[in-house]
Amino acid sequence: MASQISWSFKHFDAKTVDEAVKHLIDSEGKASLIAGGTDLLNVLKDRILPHPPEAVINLKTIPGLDTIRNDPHGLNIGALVRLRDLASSARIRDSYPVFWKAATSVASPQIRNMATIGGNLCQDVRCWYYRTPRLIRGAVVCKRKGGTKCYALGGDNRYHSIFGGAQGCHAVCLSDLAIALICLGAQAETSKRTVPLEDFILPGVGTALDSDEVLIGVHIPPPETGSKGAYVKFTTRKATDFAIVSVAALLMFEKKKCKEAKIVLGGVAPGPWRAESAEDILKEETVDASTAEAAGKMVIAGAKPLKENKYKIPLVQALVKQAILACL
Amino acid sequence: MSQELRYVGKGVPTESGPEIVTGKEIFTDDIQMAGMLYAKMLRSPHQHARIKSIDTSKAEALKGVAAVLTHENIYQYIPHVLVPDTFLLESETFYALDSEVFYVGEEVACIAAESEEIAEDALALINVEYESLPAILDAEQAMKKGAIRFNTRMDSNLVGKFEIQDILWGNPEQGLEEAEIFMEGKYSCSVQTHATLETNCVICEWSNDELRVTATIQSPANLHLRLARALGIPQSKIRITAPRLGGGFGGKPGYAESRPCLILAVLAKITGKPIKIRLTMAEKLACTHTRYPTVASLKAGAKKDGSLTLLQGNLIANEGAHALIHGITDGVACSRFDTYRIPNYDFHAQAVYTNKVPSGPMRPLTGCECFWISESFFDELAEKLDQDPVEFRIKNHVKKGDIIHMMFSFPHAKSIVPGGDAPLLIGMAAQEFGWKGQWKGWRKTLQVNGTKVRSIGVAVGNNICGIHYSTVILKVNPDGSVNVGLPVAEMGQGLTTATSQVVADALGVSQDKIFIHHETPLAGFAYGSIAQCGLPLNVAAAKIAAEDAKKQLLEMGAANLKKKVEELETEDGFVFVKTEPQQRIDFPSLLFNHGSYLTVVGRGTAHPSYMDFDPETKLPFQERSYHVGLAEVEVDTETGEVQILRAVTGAECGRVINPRIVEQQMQGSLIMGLEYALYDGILHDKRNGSILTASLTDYKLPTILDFPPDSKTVVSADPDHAPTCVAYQAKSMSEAPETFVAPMLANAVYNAIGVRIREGPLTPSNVLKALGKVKADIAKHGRRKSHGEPD
Repeated sequence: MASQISWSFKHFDAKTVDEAVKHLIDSEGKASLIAGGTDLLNVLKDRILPHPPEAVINLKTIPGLDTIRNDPHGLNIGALVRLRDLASSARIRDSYPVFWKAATSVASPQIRNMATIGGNLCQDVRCWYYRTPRLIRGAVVCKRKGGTKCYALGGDNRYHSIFGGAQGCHAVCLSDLAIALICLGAQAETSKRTVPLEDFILPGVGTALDSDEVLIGVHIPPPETGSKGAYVKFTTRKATDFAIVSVAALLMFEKKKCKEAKIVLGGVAPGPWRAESAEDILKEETVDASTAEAAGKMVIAGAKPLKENKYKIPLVQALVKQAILACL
Repeated sequence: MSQELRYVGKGVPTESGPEIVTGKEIFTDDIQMAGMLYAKMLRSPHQHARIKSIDTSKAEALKGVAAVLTHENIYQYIPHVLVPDTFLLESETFYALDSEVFYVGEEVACIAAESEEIAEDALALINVEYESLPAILDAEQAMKKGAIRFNTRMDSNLVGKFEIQDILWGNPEQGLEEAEIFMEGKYSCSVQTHATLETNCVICEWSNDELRVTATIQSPANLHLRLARALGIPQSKIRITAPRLGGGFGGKPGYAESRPCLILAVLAKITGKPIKIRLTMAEKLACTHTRYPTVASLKAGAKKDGSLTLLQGNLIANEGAHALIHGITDGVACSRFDTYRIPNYDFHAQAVYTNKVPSGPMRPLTGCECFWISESFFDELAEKLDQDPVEFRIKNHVKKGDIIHMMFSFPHAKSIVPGGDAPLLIGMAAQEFGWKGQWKGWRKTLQVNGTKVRSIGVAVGNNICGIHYSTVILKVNPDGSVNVGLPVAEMGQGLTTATSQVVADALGVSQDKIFIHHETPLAGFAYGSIAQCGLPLNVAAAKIAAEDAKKQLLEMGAANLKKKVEELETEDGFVFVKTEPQQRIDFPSLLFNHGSYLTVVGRGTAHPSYMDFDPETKLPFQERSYHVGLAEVEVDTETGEVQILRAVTGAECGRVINPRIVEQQMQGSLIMGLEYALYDGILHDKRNGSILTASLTDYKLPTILDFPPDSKTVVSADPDHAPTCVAYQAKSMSEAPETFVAPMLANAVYNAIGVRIREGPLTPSNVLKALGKVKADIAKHGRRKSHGEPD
């Protein structure tokens, strides 16, 4: 039915976090936050949302959120820190290689010049049904947008979840930084609270942010001695690409034995996917090619691939093995 | 021509390079006019539907909306707004706006408004009631008896064709009898699209009763003819300008432009204002034509000594919902299978309508589709014959004097290779690659490193050098400078540069005195920058015009210098006496004495022509450029990833006008071919026909990082290989170098993994499937019904 949706919006430059929150409250949940804008602008231009924002609140005008601070408790990264700055930080490169590799793998230099860590964590999903531009075939109201149907089921789901849906949506989490940061045990700091990052990403929804809440930064605990990590991202082309599957792995060694292991997968589930059964294989073991392979095999425990994405099963097994071997 | 060529053969820089890379070059979308309106199309969400009712009143009432056109009112303004196909075959016209829609994204209505945003807002206010109709997307299904009809007005899903387009040569039964070794296989390919960074853009404006069009158009003269017919106005009252294109590749020959152009011409008329439409990248990817989804079943026979006796084949090309080049697809597809000397042919092709977005030409028409199939197939045959694949190709490839299929032209089914020695080129490229030392036999790897295996492969390709003819106008101005009007566009293929090089040498002027225009009708006629027409038609026409002008200038000089014409020559804007070069007179002085301007027309004809016949066989000549590629790939057998490590690509193109341009075309083709070989291409939902790859995030274009780290080009540049090419015996070669790329990789991947992938592309998913690593069912872990999954 023809109905008028307004695609124009009010634009506010927030000067402080409190001001951003006030604008959020004033717009009664009908606002979007913008930082680098590399995702939101496409979402708006393609008019894919059933309820477009009535207000866009610019966070770039808030001073102090674009710094990387080091303290004895770890690293504090403001939500407005750009990916370029993460990639050029020697501290991150040397102390958090998993995170550094993930940051440098995102998109292209041009996008990394604009995009922020906060935006990368809060990005919308890339499902091609969800993203169908309105200009091509009108509004596509899928399950994630409040409709009744996830079009990926029974459709072309080669890039969708192999671990089932969340809230009926089978789109996957493709935030490179979320995968890497969860592996490192990072926390999200918002205008209200501090939450573990795995609880911040809400599969099938996006983030756990309330309608009056702003992500202000990320805290990463100090690297544990004896830990080694790797980030492996499998893409179609070498740059400017989202992962088909990504793996962040962190292994803590003590006298050559693996004491702790953390393996987080991207591109396989609606949220970052913790491969605990694979981690268990490594614990208390001397890690070598065969343990890595065995852990890789275990990573698909619980998988239920769809018709077109069964190839992700051997793929994720191979990549987990590669990531573990890269930690040695 | 006795004098040494000053410009031809030199790698002079392309004329607008600095302007393009600094953002100064003017493209169609840069043009703004006072009072300009902007148009947006309302598109069909259905793959097949009838429009029961359409209410535009709310949209029309929106502030800033100037006019709305639908199938109900467009015909009130201009009587026969039908979109004719390229070759003006009347049987296949379709309506600019129709009451029945045939694919997702097809135009339903068009809104003209003061801004793009207003027009887009107004789209949501149009109320359309559709009656959904049964639809069919698969061409093989659509061929079956009783199949769903893609269009309720058509009796059949088969695209009409000319009988002569099939290849029926020799005696297939005899070929079957003589054969000792057989090869059979069924192949299919993926769907690439042009994805030019400049999308399609059209501007229409009426000046009294003259229609002025500026468009991203490879074939302005062609659009000119078609617009006049469709609008029912004289051709003389339409003027089309083609600014430089931001890429063409077959995506802007007029099909994607003519429909919006017709609609915009009407909107410009009724609003009295200039109007522009520019497609978004999503529209470009979703709603303009793609390559043909193609499937073919082939059977070949050969003797044990390796000589080929027979090729049988049935090819089905998915034409989509409109035949943009009606009756041509299947014939051209056939001529992609005449690469090898085979006495007996029984080869049929059929284009089939479906409810897919139309298919159409792309670098070159059906070329990459068919060479993927034929070069994979003949590679398999070579293995059955236990021959080195390079040797097989050298031995069997057609060359001078051999019979090939007559691509595009009637009434001849056969033609003759007038020159050319593809086997020589294959040998040159193989030597550069070091094939002899590297080839260890079929399915033998070069190197195994853990899960990564390396091997090599080869494939060939070719394409016709132009069709039909072209005329250009050349004007020598009183100051000695030269204007050349080309009725085709510059899209980066180097036509402008090559033309000015050729004119400079043929006329004897400095290249910087020449300026090339791209517009019509004043520039003459040509089918356009399509089918490798540039050199053999347009540059040839410009050369003929330049030679005519030179002749006239020499005659003027003879009178002035009191010498015979034979004693004179031109150079750098002077006529001089060959034996006494200091005795000379410049063009301006000559022209001043002869009425100031010298205007000539040149006409260039492509081969096949109806004039150039082989005296022995009485068959027409047909020039093609011949190509080969050899590559080394690395396949990760655990992840299915295919990487190209090394490539040597070769071209045989007669004399080279500009080696830089030739190399650019070969490199550009290689990276475009990698995309076709390795990436998903255009994908549609099989149930509802919806586009899945409507952004450059989902439709992957390779970046420079994906280019092979080691790549070389080899050019066989013997003018004798192109005896009938008028422009200094130079063959065009801008489309064909993409044809061999995908099968070259497929053949190398086969040798690496030992399994043939007959259904493209070579994605990780398809490679892992070929390796048997994708289990049909993951029964072990249980397949639970997901929430929201339909039963």
